[in-house]
Amino acid sequence: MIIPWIPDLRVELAFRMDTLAAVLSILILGVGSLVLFYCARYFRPGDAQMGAFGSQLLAFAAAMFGLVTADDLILLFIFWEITTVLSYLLIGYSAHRLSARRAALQALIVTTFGGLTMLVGMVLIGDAAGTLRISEILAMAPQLLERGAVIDVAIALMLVGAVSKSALLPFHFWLPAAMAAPTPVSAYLHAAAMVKAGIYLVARLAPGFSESAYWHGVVLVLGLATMLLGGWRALRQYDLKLILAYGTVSQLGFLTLVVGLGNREAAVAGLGLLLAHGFFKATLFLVVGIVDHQAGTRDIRKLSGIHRSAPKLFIVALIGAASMAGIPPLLGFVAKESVYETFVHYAEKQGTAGAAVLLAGVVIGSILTFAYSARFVWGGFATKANCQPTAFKRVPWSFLAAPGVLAAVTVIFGLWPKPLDAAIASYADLYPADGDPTHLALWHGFTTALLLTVITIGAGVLLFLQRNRVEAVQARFTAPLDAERSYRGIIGVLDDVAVWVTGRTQRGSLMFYLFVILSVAVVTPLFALIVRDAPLPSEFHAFDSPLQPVIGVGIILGALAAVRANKRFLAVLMVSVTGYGIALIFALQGAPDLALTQMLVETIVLVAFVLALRSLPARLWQREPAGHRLLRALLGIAFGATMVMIAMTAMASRVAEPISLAFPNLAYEVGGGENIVNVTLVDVRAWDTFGELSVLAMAATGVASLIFIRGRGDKRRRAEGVATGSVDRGREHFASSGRQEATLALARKFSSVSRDAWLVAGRTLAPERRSIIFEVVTRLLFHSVILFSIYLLLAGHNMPGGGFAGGLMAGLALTIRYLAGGRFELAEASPVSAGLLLGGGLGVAGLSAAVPLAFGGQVLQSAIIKFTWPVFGEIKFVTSTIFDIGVYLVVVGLVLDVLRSLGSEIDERSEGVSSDDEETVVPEPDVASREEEEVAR
Amino acid sequence: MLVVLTVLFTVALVAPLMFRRIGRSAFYVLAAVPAAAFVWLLVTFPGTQVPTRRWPRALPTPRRP
Repeated sequence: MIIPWIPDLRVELAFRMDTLAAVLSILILGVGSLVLFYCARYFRPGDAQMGAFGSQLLAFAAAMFGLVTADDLILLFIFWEITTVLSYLLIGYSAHRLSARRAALQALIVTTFGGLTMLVGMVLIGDAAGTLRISEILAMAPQLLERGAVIDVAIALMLVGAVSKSALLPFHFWLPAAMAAPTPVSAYLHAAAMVKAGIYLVARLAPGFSESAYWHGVVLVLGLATMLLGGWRALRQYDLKLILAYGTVSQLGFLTLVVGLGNREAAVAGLGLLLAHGFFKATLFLVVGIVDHQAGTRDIRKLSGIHRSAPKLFIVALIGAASMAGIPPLLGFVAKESVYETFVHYAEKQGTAGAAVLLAGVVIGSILTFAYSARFVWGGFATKANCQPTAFKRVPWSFLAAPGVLAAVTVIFGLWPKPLDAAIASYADLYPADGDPTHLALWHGFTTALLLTVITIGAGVLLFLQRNRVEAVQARFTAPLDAERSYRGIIGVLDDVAVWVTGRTQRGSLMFYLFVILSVAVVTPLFALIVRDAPLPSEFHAFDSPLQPVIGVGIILGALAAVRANKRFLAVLMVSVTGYGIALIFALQGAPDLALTQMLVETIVLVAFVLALRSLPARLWQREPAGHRLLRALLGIAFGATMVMIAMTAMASRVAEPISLAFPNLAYEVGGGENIVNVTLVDVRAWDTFGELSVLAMAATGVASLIFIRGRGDKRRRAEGVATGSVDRGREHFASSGRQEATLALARKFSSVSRDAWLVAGRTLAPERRSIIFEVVTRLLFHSVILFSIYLLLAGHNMPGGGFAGGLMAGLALTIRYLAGGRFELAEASPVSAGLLLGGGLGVAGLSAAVPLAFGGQVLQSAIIKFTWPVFGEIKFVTSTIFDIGVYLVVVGLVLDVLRSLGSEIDERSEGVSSDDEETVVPEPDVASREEEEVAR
Repeated sequence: MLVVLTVLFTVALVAPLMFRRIGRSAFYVLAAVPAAAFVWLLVTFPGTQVPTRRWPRALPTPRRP
């Protein structure tokens, strides 16, 4: 399935369901479904953030499904990074815990580093191949490999992504730390899904590129080293989850080693092991979740006698662990037997020391696997002599169902592996046949592989029995190189550099920042203009109409007054004079739409400024010395002159017909509208507008996050229940004379009426803050302004207006409600939260961008629909209006957010009753918090 | 595939509303979505075994470092 996306960059929405994708999808969808089912019992009613958690987990399943079915490198990368971001959120579920946040950030940094490195490799290989389609790149792999270094480096870079995602050396440390996540996350992300993404990439590339220069160096060496290190470390863990975590690191190394070997036998064994590992590891993680849930601990030094109190759970755990250890007749045994066969044959064929080392390494790794599997079962379920029996609550069937099903699958496919063998055979067909075909089977006969299995089990039992000695050896031995310590060192150095740079550039002086910005803005373009000998216009008109210089003088006077103002409020007003002046110039130039928008923006900005100024002292700082003032004046003049020079040069440098000449025709013929500006915004360059919408939403969220400590402060108190005249009761001395005191007393007496005559919540304001004239005018204007804003929205395609102007107009309507009636009036006027408006607006715009795809069109393509309505007659509807509705909603949300942040919240703080403080409630410790307490390091 | 992907993402998007309404039982609803996709996969799996474009069966002379 292929949908063109960005043809110029050859990026497509290309999907492909082949055998490898289907095998991974079995794990992603099957295990994903069971884990979500399990969550219903794992979480307790009322646990925090369950909705976000469920949403993220399902979205993760979707992203993984997209990742394995993507047949385009860039598409694969996008899904890859979505899984990275979602894993960050899921690992950091208990966001109030430092250890969870730290583990989440660590996983994010490590896997993003790998992902970006992988992207460089993808771009290199896509450029060399002339396509980004994965299937086509693999088909031309032999020709690509002949190009030498470029492809070798590209593949190595892609492998860095795989290695980081699958927690191979030297990136293995993020996985045990990520056990701070709730157990369902570990069961899904760290057993079945996310960590398999790297394995998937290796398996995807192996048929084509396993002979590239650095492949075996990366895949085989790192795979084997990770397998041994993870297995060894698992033997010294006391936390059941950490035993599994290090076991997973070991198994991921094992899997990489097998699927990356690059031959037919390894392909069969690798996919078999991939499935087996997904099933048994998810089983065991879910079992650990139950143990922790019912016993309150995962520490094997505290657990005792669970096999008696929870025999069914014990059987499920035993099956999972036995499969992990490679004991017949389970699927783990079948897969491991096949792997042994593969490496025995590989050693025989190659006849090299390297192949023998690989075989020996795999056997040693499997012995370690057996030992830590035994440690898991013994630690979690055995009765220990020096330990009291652990109190254990009964396990409901619905809690045990998910691991039970997975354990049953392990048994069934262990006894009957033929369906799996048949399913993965076509993946093995990608390799040339050499010798007898290989199959997954329970019994291969009396072979060397069987002998190795016997040795593995025997040695594994011995190693387990010597567990105390192993622990003692590990306690004495300190690794000379520690990856996590190195990671922390690098992050520490980065932090230090950031602090150093920040200390020298962010000095807290606004004047310094402006000096740097303006100096660069003057020097850089002037340098370019001089060096390039840029042309200037041959003709120069000072002005087109006599009104222009008048307005220009007004703007200059406004700017000078702003500079000379000794109060902030006056300075802001004078700055607005310049803005309104520019709007007038737009109007004179025949651009009423721009003029209208500029006017509205200027007004909203003025309100925001004034609201923010309330938090600052009224007077500006003391005057700078005369020398500084002169320097500032010179810099200001230089900046203005430079901008004029740039504009003039730009006009004189034209070498082609201006593109703007085509806009009227484009707007009318293609966009179906007569307002060129609006059609340009919502149709011709709608992608840009979509980007700007995102920036607006982020800016609004940024403002809210600076003001509100927790959340976006969307939960507002309504006016109901608020005492009349209780809000913003002046603490200043309004009444400085007897007459004023009498007036205030009269006003307070008047305000005791409970009826809301004009505004819904105007009565809540203190009488000295109220203006009856303003309230009446607001009442009369509000609905008209809202209606006018909707008119601007709908008429904007053909006349001045549009979603942006309409949204600003609606924002102004909300502003006057707030100014006239206070924060409770604003809450009553906007029953929908700012966050919902912003999100809804982005959603509507996004949907209007995506829907054309369903009709075979392109992203953001508009359509003109004509129909006839009684009374209204023939109506022409352009679908880009829907995009404009999204713009409208985002702008209203932005203004509302500014009013809530800089208005309501600052009001409340000045009164000492911040709702944000009220919302600052320490959440109840949840399941994840309890369980990750012990894990976090 | 695109339908499965779209449904998974869409349900994920509305999941918080479900939790607000039915609490942790919403996990059962969420579980049903990948389960349905899993069934679809099993039903269509045989069709995926024969790729339309075979990837390289043989590789050129190995170029080990």
